[in-house]
Amino acid sequence: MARLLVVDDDPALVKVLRISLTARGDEVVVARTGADALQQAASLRPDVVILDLGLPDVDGVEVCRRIRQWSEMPIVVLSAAGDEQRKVSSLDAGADDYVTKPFGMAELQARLRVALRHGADRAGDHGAVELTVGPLVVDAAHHTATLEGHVLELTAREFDLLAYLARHAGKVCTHHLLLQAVWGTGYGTESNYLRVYAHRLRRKLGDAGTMLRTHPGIGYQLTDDDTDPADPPPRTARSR
Amino acid sequence: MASYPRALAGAATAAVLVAGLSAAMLLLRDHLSVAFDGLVLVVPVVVGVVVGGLAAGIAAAAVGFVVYEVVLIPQYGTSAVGAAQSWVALVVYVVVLVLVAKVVADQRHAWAEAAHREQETRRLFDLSEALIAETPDLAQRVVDTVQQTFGSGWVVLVLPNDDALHVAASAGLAAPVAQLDAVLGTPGTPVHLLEHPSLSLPDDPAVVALVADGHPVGLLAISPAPAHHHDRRLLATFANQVALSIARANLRELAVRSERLEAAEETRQILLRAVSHDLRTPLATIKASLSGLRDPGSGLAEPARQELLGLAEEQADRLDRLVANLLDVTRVEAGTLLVRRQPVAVDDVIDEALAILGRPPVTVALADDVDLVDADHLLICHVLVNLVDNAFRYAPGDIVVSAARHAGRVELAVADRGPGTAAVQLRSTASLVGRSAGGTLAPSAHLAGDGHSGLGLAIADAFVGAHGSRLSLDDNPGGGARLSFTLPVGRADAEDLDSTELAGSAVAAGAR
Repeated sequence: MARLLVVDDDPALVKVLRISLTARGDEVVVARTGADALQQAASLRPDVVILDLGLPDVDGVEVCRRIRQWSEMPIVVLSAAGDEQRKVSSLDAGADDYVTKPFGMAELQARLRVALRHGADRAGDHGAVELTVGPLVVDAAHHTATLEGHVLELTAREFDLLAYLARHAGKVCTHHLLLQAVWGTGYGTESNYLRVYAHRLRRKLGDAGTMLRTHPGIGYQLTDDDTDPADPPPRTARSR
Repeated sequence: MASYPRALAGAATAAVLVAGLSAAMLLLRDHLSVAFDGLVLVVPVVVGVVVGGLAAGIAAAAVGFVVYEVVLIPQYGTSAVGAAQSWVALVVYVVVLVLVAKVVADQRHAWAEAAHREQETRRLFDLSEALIAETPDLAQRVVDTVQQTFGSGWVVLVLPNDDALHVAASAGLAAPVAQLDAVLGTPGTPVHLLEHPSLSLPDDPAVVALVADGHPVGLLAISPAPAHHHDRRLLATFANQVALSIARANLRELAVRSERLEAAEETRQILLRAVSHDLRTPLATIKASLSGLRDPGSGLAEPARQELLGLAEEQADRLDRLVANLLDVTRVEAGTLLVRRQPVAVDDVIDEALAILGRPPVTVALADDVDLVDADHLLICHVLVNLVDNAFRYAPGDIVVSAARHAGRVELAVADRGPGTAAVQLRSTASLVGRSAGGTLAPSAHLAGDGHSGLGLAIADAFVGAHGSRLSLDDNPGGGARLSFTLPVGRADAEDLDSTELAGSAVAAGAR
């Protein structure tokens, strides 16, 4: 049983989410505006925030940024199809994952599950030296990574990338975030580097390579949640 | 060049002076030397040149020579010249006089030239002054300036427009421009402007092609053609300047047009984004409810399932209304909106609108003296649906639908306690602010990327406009916004079904 904060200004969608999520045994709290969302997030400390980007008062990206100033609580963003730029902005501002409207409940619940588990992990092992994501163990102190006990042969940069993704397991890390963290502050647009390194990491991870998920045009996510969402991914590219 | 009368006057002046001086010297000729006489006779020649130019000077010199030789050189009265000294004096006299006449005449010529050039410079300056100003009537300015500068009879500026030539401006022309235009009108056919019977253009004109950047931009015709080479050169310079400024004006127009196109394209993008947002919002609810219902592990109890189905159905209705609104937009734009005026019961139409919306919690305030209005029942019902729906989206709760008499008409209003007029303007710019001149629905760029299209309000505005009224937006006393419009009072015994076909322009004009 988790406490979920749903932030959306469309009353009908809010009702559907409340009914469906409550049926699963979760507690649902609703905020209609960005200001209300910030206040509820502070006072009720929800386990996860479901945040619509198009709010009547404060921009959803700004809500992400302000929550991140004081809390690591997982944030799953709801965004309209074709609004890739704001989706990326919200992830850069600290959101963990996104769901594109219109979405199926199974897909939303899968994302919430990932966010909840990794959110709890992150709260527990804050500053931990050893990071565990499924069969993968990353030891930041000794610069080693093991998969089911076998040591992976990684270059320094491959290790840095894997370690960053493991530290933010469950979060969709944008190209910009990864390049800045692993390559340095002078980088940010060289997403072709990432494609190469993601490919190498997947090959070295073997069967576990599916843990590293590609979000085309957005970034990468490392998660051990292998239950793929029941719904097919939204076909955002169709109209363009 | 000295003119003929001036030369004559100079020669006459010189002759008179020669006569006077010779007469005076005649009395004293025995006491004067031959050289002195010659020196004195230089004066009339110089005066002659100054007054009458080179020809007058030479004439004066000739007269002086004869008088000198016959009267003042010893062996008077004959053409015989005596002493060698006298010969020398005579020759010196002639040489000096011819040279003086030449120098003075050249000087005069240079002066005249300088004066002409200065005038030319001033005219060019005047022209560039006229061309530099940002005015819409550039063509008229050009012909006026050319006419003034050359003192022409008439001046015509012909410019290409689309595929044909047309007279952009004319000055001093007797025939009306339209007549001339008609002659020019057909591309591909040779035109004999000067021989055209309906025009009877006087005098022999000069036609100058205006060329800028290697492209022809028009024709400048001027009559009579400037005769002097100075004027022809000036005309050529004028033509170049005019061509450049016409090319510049064309470029400016092009820039303005592309800017406008860009703005229209942006507006279309914004509208498209807003409409797609509006259409997707109910879809999100429908998909979320149905996918939840289909999921075997959802754990939904029966009441919850019913509620989800109800929500999906409600949103499907909302989607239907949106699509209907979109169809209405095309009807309004195509100008095929039909208004069937009939007596409409106000309480009835409000009730019907609320029924369509699924009876939302709305307060209805009907004044006692409000009964019938003269309007199209369907359209007014649609307007009320859109206004209440709009109010609900932004401020559910405390919505008041009211009807009251106002200055002989019935005012219908929907008031909410939402964010107020500022927010309404922002979300409904399509109808209340940004309607373009052509009557198409165009929201201004203020509409936020995720903003609602304001389609409902735009439609309401257009429908109210079709009734010859207008939708007005005010602050609701005590907070919120109030959208209202008035309709004429209907009479029960009025002749039914007075229908009016509205042209697109009438709808657009009325709606504003």
